[in-house]
Amino acid sequence: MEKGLAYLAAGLAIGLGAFGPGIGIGLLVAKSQEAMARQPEAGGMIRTAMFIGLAFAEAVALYALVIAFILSGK
Amino acid sequence: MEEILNEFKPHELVHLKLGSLDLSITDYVVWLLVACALVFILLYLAARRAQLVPRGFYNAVEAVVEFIYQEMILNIMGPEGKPFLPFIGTIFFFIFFVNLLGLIPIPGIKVGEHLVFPGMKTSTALTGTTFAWGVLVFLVYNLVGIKKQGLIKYLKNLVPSGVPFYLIPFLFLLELISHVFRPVSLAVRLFANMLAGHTVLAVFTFMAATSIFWVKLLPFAGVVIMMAFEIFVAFIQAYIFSILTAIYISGAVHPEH
Repeated sequence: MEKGLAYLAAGLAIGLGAFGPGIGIGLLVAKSQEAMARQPEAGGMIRTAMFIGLAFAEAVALYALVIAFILSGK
Repeated sequence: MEEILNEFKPHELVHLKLGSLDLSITDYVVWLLVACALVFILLYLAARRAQLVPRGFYNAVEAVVEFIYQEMILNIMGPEGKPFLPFIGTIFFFIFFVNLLGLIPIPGIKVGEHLVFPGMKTSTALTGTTFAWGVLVFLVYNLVGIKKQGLIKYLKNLVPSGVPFYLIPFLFLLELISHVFRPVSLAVRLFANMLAGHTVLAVFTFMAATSIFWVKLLPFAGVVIMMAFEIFVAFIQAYIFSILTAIYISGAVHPEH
């Protein structure tokens, strides 16, 4: 019973935890594509900034994933 | 799931303990040392054969170093960041090689009881490695900042100038917390990315191995696609780690940014 609850919690943790970063990464990439299309000569700088932002957004989902791993390993 | 996660448990090869300090050599340590040796050999050979018009393999190394210099030094720190090129370049190459080594799918080989060849592992999929690097980056950028500005001025510059005096203690505390969490977030990002990627690979491989013949193709295609993606992730994570290091050092040296 308790193990089942832990698995359920792990699924919920990564499912809900990936929700926000998914939206965030989508917005980030969409906006930087827009910016790159408008100003192709600034593409390199925008790409660098995008990757840094991606790393921060992605890290949030990965924290959730670590929690999910801890829960499913219980 | 349990047996997949068990794959990531380190195997002790040489038992070594100093009191309560565990210094045992595990398979993760072995691959860390191998990556260290590979980076050293690669960069040493490339530097020794430096030519005006580089060719082939040396050209490739030079292109990567040029990329690091352009993207992480010039774009972020400006020309005065040049002394940090060796540090940031070493971090980049080291993390990239450690990440790549774990992608080579060779399991451990046992002869009788003895493990003659430890299975290829990604040392960055273990918190110990990444936290050590995070703490190293934390120490480096703080010491560089203190050396450049002096301790009192460095602490003073943590708070942006021009804020009302009653906000200063609060902001100082906030900045202190954010600085302490920098190495933690660096370490957890790298660790979780590598662990997650390898777990997905392991799950697909497990599915391909256990499913019936006609269904095998689907998870196998997943393994191939994820493998390509993981090579990309190995590069991106090395890039992110080193570019964030550059940003932190730049922030410590130029307080106004």
